[in-house]
This record gives sequence, C-alpha cells and structure tokens, in this order.
Amino acid sequence: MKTLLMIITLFTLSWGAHIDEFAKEVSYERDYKKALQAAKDKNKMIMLVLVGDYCPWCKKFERKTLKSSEVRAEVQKNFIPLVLDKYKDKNTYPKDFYAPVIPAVYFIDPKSEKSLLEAVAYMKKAEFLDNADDALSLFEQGAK
Amino acid sequence: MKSLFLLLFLSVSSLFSASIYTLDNVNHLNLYIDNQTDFMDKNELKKDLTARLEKEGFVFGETDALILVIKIKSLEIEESVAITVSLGLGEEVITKRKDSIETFSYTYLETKFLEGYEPKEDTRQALNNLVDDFIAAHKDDNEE
Repeated sequence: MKTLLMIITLFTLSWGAHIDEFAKEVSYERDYKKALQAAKDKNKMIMLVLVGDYCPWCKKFERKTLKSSEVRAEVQKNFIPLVLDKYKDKNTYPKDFYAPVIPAVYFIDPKSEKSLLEAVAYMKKAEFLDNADDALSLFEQGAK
Repeated sequence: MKSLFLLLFLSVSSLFSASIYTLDNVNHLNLYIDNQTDFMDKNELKKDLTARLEKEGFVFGETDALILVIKIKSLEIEESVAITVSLGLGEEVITKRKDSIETFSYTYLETKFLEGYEPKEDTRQALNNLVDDFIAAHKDDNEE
C-alpha cells in the first residue's frame, strides 16, 4: 500500500512539473489570486492559459507559440500571464473559466473578473497576437 | 456574418494543416518501406515517394538522417482486402524520464485503414493522402 501511495505521489509530482517548469521559463503566474492582485495593482488584464498534462495540442501551443520571443515580449508588456491546469488546479480559479476545450486563453478584466475575450484551440503566433491585440482594444475601450 | 464564416473557415483550415507533432527543422530523411503486401512494388514506391518529397525540399541520403517509415499491411477478407497504411517519422530522442533515457521514437505518425476492392490503387491513394498531410504539417510548422 505504501509503495502504491509513493508511486501515485511521484506520478502526481511529475504531472505538476511540466506546467511549473513552463511557468518558470516564461515568467507566468501559477496562482489565480496572486495574478488577480498583480493585475489590479498594475491595471493590466490577466491572461489565463488553461492547459492539461494529457493534451498534446497544449504542449505544442506552449512550445511553438507562447515560448516564442515575440509572444513572450507582448505578453509580459501587456498582461499578467497565468497558466493553470484545467483539472488539477480546478478549485483555485472561478468556474466561469472552466473551458470545455483546451488549450484555452481567457483575457480577464481584473475589476469585473469577466472574460473580455476567449480564444480556444491551438493558435499560431500571428493568430494569438491578433487575439491579444483585440483583447487589449476591448480593455482600453472599457477603461474610457 | 460573412466575416464570421471566413474566420471560422480560416481557423478550421489552419487546424487541418497543423498536427499535434512538431516538425521544425525536419529536412534530411532516409526512406524505409515495410511492405507486407504482394500487390505493392517497394522499389516503385521508393522511387515515387523520394521524387515527390525531394520536390518539396527534403534531402535524402545523408548519414544519421531521420527515418521516414512507410508501413503497408493487408489482410484478405472474402472479395476485398483490409489494408493499413502508416507514415511515421522515426528518430533517436532524449526522453524526460529519470536519467534522460534515450530511445528510438516516432515523432510523427499517421495511419489510414481502408477496405480495398482495388488494393493497389486504394493503397496508392491512401499513401498520397498521408504524404500530403505530412507535407502540409511540415510547412505549417516551418513557416514564420
């Protein structure tokens, strides 16, 4: 029984590892409340990326799109980025963002905690940056 | 409404060419054909596939190139033939396992199952579709 528990724990730890490594590498938050506070302090939107450890499209989205230098620069300049596992982080973020499809990206207004724009499925750099621009425009319009 | 359809069409078509695999910097190939049928000619296949892929910019004959594996199997069922055709890209990879174990792995794999009444022609068609998908996925990953 002990061995079984040890194996399960090791598996669980290894599941968490990839998302933590990714968050560290691209400087994304891993905690919704912290991201929300930072977004309020800096008057920026939260960019919530929902992924899953079993999801190859999510891995490709991280690898090819989110890790690219143009996307990283744009994201760090304009958003408070946050990456969460759709299932493993489930009780740590609002139910409004329980996406039916992943990868999913929510651009969230920190005051209302409502999504201004959602983008689902794998996106290439250009498509992702278009969505980020649209989200920024919506955020700026709301601020006027 | 028109723009919505256009957006939907563009998103869907871009997803069709993309694959869950990452084919960045796949340029040098060695072709390996595992033909387990008596109706396909291995040499003819090799010649045609090499010519087709060379036209797309792939280079053959280099040492330690990635292995493009074509596997064709068939089983006669009464008057028809059940056929599976696979196209895979095999290479040595370093895994994320403990001790960073190295192993041979398929880093791209697509398979088609078909019931052929004209086995040679149907297999040719399936193989052409697999090659089209591979080329499209390769283009999708390597374009800026």
